[in-house]
Amino acid sequence: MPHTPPPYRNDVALPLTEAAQENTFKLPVCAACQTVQYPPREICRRCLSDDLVWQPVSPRGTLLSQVDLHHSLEPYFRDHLPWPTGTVQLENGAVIICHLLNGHMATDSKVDMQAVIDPGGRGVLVAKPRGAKTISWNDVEQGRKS
Amino acid sequence: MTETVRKIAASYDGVALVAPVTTPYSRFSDKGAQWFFGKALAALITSAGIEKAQIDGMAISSFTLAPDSIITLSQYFSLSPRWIEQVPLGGASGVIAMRRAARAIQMGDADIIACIGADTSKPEGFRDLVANFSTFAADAAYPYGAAGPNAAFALITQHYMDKFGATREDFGRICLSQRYNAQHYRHALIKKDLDMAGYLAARPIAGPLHMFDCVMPCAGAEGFLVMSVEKAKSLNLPYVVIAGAGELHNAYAHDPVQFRGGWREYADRMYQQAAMGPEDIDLLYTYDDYPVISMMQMEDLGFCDKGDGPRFVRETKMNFDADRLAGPTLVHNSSGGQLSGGQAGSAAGYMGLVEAIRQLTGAALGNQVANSKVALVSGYGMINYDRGLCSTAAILTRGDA
Repeated sequence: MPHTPPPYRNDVALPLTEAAQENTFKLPVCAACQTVQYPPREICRRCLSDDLVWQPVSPRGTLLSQVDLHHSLEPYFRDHLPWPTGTVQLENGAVIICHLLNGHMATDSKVDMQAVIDPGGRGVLVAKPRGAKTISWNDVEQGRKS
Repeated sequence: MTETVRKIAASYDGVALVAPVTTPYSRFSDKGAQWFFGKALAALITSAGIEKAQIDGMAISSFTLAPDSIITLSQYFSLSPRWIEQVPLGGASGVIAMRRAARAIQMGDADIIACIGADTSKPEGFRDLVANFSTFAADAAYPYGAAGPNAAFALITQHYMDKFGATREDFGRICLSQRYNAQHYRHALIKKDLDMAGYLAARPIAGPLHMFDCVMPCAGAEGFLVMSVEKAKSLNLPYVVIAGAGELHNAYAHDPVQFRGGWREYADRMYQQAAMGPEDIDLLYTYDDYPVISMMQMEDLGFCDKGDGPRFVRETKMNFDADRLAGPTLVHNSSGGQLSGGQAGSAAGYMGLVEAIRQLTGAALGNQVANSKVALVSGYGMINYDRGLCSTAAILTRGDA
C-alpha cells in the first residue's frame, strides 16, 4: 500500500481541506480588522478578536526562498525525494511554507497559491507560477523534478 | 523602526554560578529523562560538596519528561524546594533559567537553586517530538514534508545565502572549528576528523544543509547551581558572575524569512550593563542548531555587521587553542557545541552556559582556553513553524575567588 503524507491537523485548520475540495483559496480573515491569518488560529494575531472567518483571499504572492528536501522523517516524502518546498509571502502579508509545483520557479518570482487535496485527503497549499492553470496533486507529484 | 525606551535592568550583583556538570551524552538511551535529571542532580551535589536537602530551589527544562514535571521530580528525588520553575524553551532554556534563578537568589526566595536541562532519546522519539511540537508546526510545517526543523532552517539558510552571498564554505568554517574543539572535549559524541572537502561532500539533507550542518539528537544532561556569592565563598567554590543579560522573543515578527533575532534589540544595553563591548569577549557560545544561526548571533551581538558574518568567520580564528597574537581570534563553542557534541534536547540550551562556567573557573574537560576572563552565552530556540522565537544572551565573568 503506498504511503500517504502525514494526517496531523488540528481542528482549526480543517477548513483548508473544505476549501481545497471546493477549489477555492480561503484563509481565516479577521472580521474586525481584516488581517489575514496563517497558520490558522482561533484568535486574530493583530487585534485579538475571535471573529475569524474562512473566506476567499488573493492567491498572489512572491516566492522568497526555496529548497529541495533530501531527507524526511515521513515515509511518503521519503518515497518521493528530492521534494521541493518554499516560503511564499502573499500580497496580504501572510507567510506560507508550501509545496512548489516544480523546481523551476525563480526565487523572488511572482507566484499564485492554490489549495490542493494531498493523497492523505488533506488540503495543502501549493505555489505555482503566476497565471498557471488549476493543478491537482498529480501535477505536484509528477512535476516536482520536471 | 522606532526604539522602545526601556529601563536598564537591575544588576545581578551578589549572584554566583557554580558547579558546572555534564551527564555524558549517548545517541539513544533506554533510561528515562528522570534518570538524566537524577544523575545531574547527584553530580551537582557532589561537585558543590553540599547535602541534597540544601537545594531549596530548582529550575528544569526537558522535552521528554512529560507527563512528569518539576513538581513530580520533587517527590521523585525527595526534595522540598521553596522555589520551582520549569522553562520549556529549548535552546533558550539555560539563560532564562539562570536569569530567573538569579533574581530569586537576590530576593531571598531560595538559597541554592539547581538549574538542569535533561532529555532522553529514543529511536522514534524525535519524529513524535517534531510532529507535535506546536499547533503551527502540526498544521503548517509538518504536512509539507518537513524533516523536523531541517526544512525551515534550509529555507532560512538559503535565504541568507541569497541575500548576503554566504557560501557553504563559510558555514563549513564554523562546523570544522567546532569539530576540532570537540576532539579535545571529553564528552563530545562526534570526534571524527572532518576537513572542508569532507564537509562539502556530506550527504544532502535539505537545500544547502548537508549532514554536518545538522545536529544529532541524543540523550544527556547539563546543570549548574545558582547561589549568593557569599554562599559560594563559604563553600570554597570557584564561581562566575553575571555582568549583563537580556532576552527578547518573537522579535522582527514582520520579517517574512528570519535573518536576525532579538539580540540586536538589547545587545547594546547588555554591553552597557556589563561596561564592556564585543571586543572584551574571550569566549563566545552561540546556540548552534545550524551554522547560519551561529552566524546570525555573531552579527546581532555586535561582533560584525549584518550580512558580514561570512567575512567574519573567514578572518577569525575560532578554535579553543587559537593563538591570539596571530590574528583576529574569538574562541567559539569551545566544547564543539551541539554540531559536534550532540543535541541532548533541552540540555542543549544549557550546554554553552555550563561550558562557559567550566572555562571561566579553570575546570574545562580537556579543552581549557588560556587566560579567558569573559564569556558571552547566547540562546535561541523554539522553532515554531518558520523560525526560532526565543533569543537570550548573558555576559559572564570570573568571580574574584
